[in-house]
Amino acid sequence: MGQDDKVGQGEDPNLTSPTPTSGESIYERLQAEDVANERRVFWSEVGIAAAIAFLAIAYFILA
Amino acid sequence: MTDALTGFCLLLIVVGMVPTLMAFAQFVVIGWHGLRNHYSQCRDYTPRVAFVLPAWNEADVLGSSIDSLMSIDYPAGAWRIYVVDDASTDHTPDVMREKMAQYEGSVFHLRREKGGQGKAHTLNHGIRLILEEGWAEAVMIMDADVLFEPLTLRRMVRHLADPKVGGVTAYVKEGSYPGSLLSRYIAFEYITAQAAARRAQNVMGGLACMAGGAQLHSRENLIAIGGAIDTTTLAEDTFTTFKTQLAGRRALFDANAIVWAEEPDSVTALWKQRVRWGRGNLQITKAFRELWFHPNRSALFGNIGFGILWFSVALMPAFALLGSFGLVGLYYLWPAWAWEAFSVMWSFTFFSYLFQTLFSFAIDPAASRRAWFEGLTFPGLLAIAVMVTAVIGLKPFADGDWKHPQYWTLRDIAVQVILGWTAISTALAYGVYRLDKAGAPKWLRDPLLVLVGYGPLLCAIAVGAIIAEVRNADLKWDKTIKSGKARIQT
Repeated sequence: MGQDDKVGQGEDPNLTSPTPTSGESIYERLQAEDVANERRVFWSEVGIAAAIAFLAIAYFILA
Repeated sequence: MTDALTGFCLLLIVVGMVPTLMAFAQFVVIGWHGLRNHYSQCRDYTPRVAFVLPAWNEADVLGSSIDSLMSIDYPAGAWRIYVVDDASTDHTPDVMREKMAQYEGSVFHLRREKGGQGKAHTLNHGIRLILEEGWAEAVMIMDADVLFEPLTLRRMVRHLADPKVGGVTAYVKEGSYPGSLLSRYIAFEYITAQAAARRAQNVMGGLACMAGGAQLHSRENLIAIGGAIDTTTLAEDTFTTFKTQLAGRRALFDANAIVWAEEPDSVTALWKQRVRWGRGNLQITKAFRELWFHPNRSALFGNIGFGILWFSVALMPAFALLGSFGLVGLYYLWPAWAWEAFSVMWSFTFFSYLFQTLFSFAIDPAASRRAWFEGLTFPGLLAIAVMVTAVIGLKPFADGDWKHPQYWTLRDIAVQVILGWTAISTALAYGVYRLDKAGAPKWLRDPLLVLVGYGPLLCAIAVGAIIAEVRNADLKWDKTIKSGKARIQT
């Protein structure tokens, strides 16, 4: 029933080294997108933290 | 004596604030991920990857999972799928026969004729065969119902080009379609617990958990941690994450690598799943007891911040209970201070809630569009009312002139309910669970959940996990039933 017997019939087990492959353009696009997203998260935090800090300070001054 | 008791109550209040303070601190750190992340050390790297899917009666979800995996964007022939069938009694073998014929040479069915030992044993059966085979350069441990976005694998493997990295996990998003109130609460929870918290942990240098739904290991790392995953606890994914880091390699979270999963659609199913997770965390706390807060023994566990963060989550209900006791106790000893302490504690909680909720919306705008209501009501409408009471003051509960409670007047009772809300909401959330378990309809359960809050429900579940662990209840792997409702949602 099982297919365990098929395991072990794979390709040459020599491992490849982390060298550039044909997907380089995809890789670069993903890197650019993801780095940009992390920057967006950073600036979102700066904006929201500033707004909340303003609210909190206003609250403490008025309270 | 009264002074000592008052001081003790104040101490309890400070201790009760630890989870709130840690969650806030963690959120503050997140932004740094934009400046300090691992992307600069990535390279274009596409190793041969073996996906290991443990399956026990997963026929309803296996087909779509395999189809999703076979349609990813990755170099041809560089990935394979190994379904480890834990002696399923449904039509899993039929599904596998069909899929093996459809994707010949890429999909394998590894069937255990004697099963029932749980997920970890099932995974180990597959991992052992894959490592023996030698084809795979990396192994993706995942759940049978998880759906991969086309570019998720590429996003994950690029980190393995850095030999210091042993494992990478993805952002597991709740993908039930159509969704429900509960599934949207979980969707929002995953923004805070994964997209937010794990980014912060990347910055802090130690990951608490690589999600079992998408846990990628380099072959070297898997061999270094013993070529198998832990079978002694209920949180094998967390255990593997810790072992990876203790073996000297980094465990990373890539928030941009997204997978989708179906999560429980009833409070009862959620309770079962999370009690298992909670117990697993407690077992791990115990298993590594020699390392916590000892920087000379382990950089990760010895890290004070990481330790406090871990314990504030694992023992969250204890902190909540202590904080509530502290406030109510102070009300009896020194009512005016009780008001001050309550005001400071809950005002901070309010601003922290505002910051975390708005920032979570910004972190994952797509999920937040779907779950904005659940994000806003996460602590419960009644908890929000308590926060508002602290921030703006509502007579007669918060006029800043509380007197010693003399009689059980309505005001005395109301003040004590407000002061003890953290503990009371946990008890009420348990009531929501019991109602759901008793078969209460959604029209009753859902409004109650919105009132009491999803956060308190998680706290109540943590109590359940602690009790189950203390009672040494059976260590069985209660599988969450999946119906194939998950979709990749764009």
